[in-house]
Amino acid sequence: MAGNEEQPNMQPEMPADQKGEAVPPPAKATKPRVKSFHCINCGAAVTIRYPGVSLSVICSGCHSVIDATDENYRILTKYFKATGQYQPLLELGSRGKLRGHLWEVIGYMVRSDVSSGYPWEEYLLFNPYYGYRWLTQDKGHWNIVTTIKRKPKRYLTSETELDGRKFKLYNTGRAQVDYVIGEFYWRVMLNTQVTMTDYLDAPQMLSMEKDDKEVIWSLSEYIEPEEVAKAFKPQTKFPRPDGVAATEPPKLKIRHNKIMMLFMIFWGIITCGQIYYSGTALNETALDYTNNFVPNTKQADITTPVFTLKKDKANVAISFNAPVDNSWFWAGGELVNDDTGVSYPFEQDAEYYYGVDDGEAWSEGSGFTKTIIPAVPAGKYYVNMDIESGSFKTTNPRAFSVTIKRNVPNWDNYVWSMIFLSILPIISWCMMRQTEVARWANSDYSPYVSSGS
Amino acid sequence: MQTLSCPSCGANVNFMSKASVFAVCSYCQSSLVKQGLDLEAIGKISELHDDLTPIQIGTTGVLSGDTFEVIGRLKVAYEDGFWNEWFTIGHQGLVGWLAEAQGFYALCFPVTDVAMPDKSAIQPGRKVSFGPFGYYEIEDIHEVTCMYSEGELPINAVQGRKSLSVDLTSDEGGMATIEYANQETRAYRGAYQDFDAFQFKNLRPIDGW
Amino acid sequence: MVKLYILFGLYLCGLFLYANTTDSYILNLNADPGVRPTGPGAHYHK
Repeated sequence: MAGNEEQPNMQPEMPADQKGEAVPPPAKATKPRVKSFHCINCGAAVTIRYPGVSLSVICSGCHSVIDATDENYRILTKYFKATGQYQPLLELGSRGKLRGHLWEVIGYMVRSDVSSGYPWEEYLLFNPYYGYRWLTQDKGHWNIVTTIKRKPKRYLTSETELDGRKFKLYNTGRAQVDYVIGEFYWRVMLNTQVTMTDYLDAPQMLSMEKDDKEVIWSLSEYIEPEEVAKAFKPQTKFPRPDGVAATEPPKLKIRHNKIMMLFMIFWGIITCGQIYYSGTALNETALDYTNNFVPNTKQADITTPVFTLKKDKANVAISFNAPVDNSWFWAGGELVNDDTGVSYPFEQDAEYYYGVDDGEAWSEGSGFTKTIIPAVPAGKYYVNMDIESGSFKTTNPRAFSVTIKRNVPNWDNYVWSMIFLSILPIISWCMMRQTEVARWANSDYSPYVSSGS
Repeated sequence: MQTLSCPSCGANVNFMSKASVFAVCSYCQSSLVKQGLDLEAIGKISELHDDLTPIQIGTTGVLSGDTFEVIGRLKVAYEDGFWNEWFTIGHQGLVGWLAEAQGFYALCFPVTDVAMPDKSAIQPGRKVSFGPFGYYEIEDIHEVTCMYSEGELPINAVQGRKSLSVDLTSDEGGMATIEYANQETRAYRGAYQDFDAFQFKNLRPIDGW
Repeated sequence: MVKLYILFGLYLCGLFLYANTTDSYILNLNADPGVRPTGPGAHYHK
């Protein structure tokens, strides 16, 4: 490249800097010049606030759409439904700071779904450095919308992916313009319909708008009505939010995920605890005692030999095994500490019945019974009991046995812990579910409504 | 930098890029074609009304760590509006185009050594091979007319110059442009970036903003 | 709710630990109240 050569001034009136180089005239600061004219259709005064960028402007008198770039301000669409029942909540021309940038409201549009008639408002926001955003409002819920240049991957019609996030199909339909005022960056075409497809991944909605010319993708994000009001300080009160917005931030889902994670942690701790306690349980037979009984009689004060119970404050499992056969056997007595005399009462029933009814065999009960006595101190013990039986067919003496086991694994604490641990997760799930069902209430593709019509 | 003098008014006309073949005199708005060390005046660029852009000649920005400077501008109009193409120069003299429209900014650089399809084969949705850079899908095709130019430019940017501008995108989110003009086909590839990420300096002040 | 659950879960772990080391029925809402010591020398039958 040629070196930086100093040239002598060619014309004396040109300003020169210290090096003697001619300095070009400074670029003029862009002064947004508002343009005013009279609507060629109705004569009303029309103003274009940003003629450098707006392509169409709507006459507030007759609601015709005017070509803002045409030197004669030709009409693009005449007399568009000049109804006055729509009033923007944010005043055209008002400015506010949203998400770090200053925006000016330059356009207002009301659109609706063609088949259901469901309407929503759209506010066009402008900033000469950052371009455009939209604020949409329906049923009191607000979203801030940006047009995006990147396109999502479309591999399923029910789902699409953008920036690695999956968006689920929320709605499809066609939209029409019901009302429009202000100025816009394209030539607004009325009396036309666009196809709209929305995909949801709260708090964002990915939308595709298609007409016969082009496809436009945009990303909406939930914004609190308070944030919008704080920025634009509207004169009118905003409508109260009704129901759950589709893009409502999934706070309850996030909370439920946290709770489920905690549930897994606590479940893990308690399960490890249970494995430890079950593993270190003695599960030791302290006594295996067999005796005879005469069926269909009562026998009192049967006493077992003394046995030792190790490991202080552990449980004792007393089991009976009786040869019941469509008969019953009852035992009641106490576990007695040989040294202190402290006794633990128990009572057990062994019954076993069976038969055939209308060709179907049935049975009920068992010859085994068990009672668990908790927190029995270590020491020497014996069992003292009375027994009784009935319905035996023959009364020749038979044998019954008693087994005393020390420190058997106990799952009761574990089961009850799990029950208590599940209370809050169940509540949090129910609350989340309620919000999610409401979120999808306006969708034709709700995963919570069975598709059968 | 090369400094020549305007044949109409004698003012200095600077050329920062060897690729520039055209310039607009900043004093008298004459459109000048560069012939070696001579400049030939071929007309005048009429004033631009209703311009609202924060970028100006002299604005600098950054993309992927490399700084560039805006040295020229081409404002093109198409059926549904217009946009600005700012001619840029970066380190080691690498030239590029900064496309500016509706708050979207994309910087792209020339692609040479890759054959572009014939104009007749251009259709939205078609994929075009950019050689080692992969495939780009055609998004939009616009017939454009030059409505204004300033600074220095690598093309004869006379008002009324017509061309076909093709916008493409890649799967990874990159962008590309192919321009079909009279006898020439030029291709560029680059990326969109947020205004803030460009860290623009020496922007044009906009009254009230 | 998350903070409440953390506190509750820790408390429950503590109770579980207590119940297992003292073989207590504190967690068992369904515990049979019958198996209690009846004192020295008591016999079941009257």
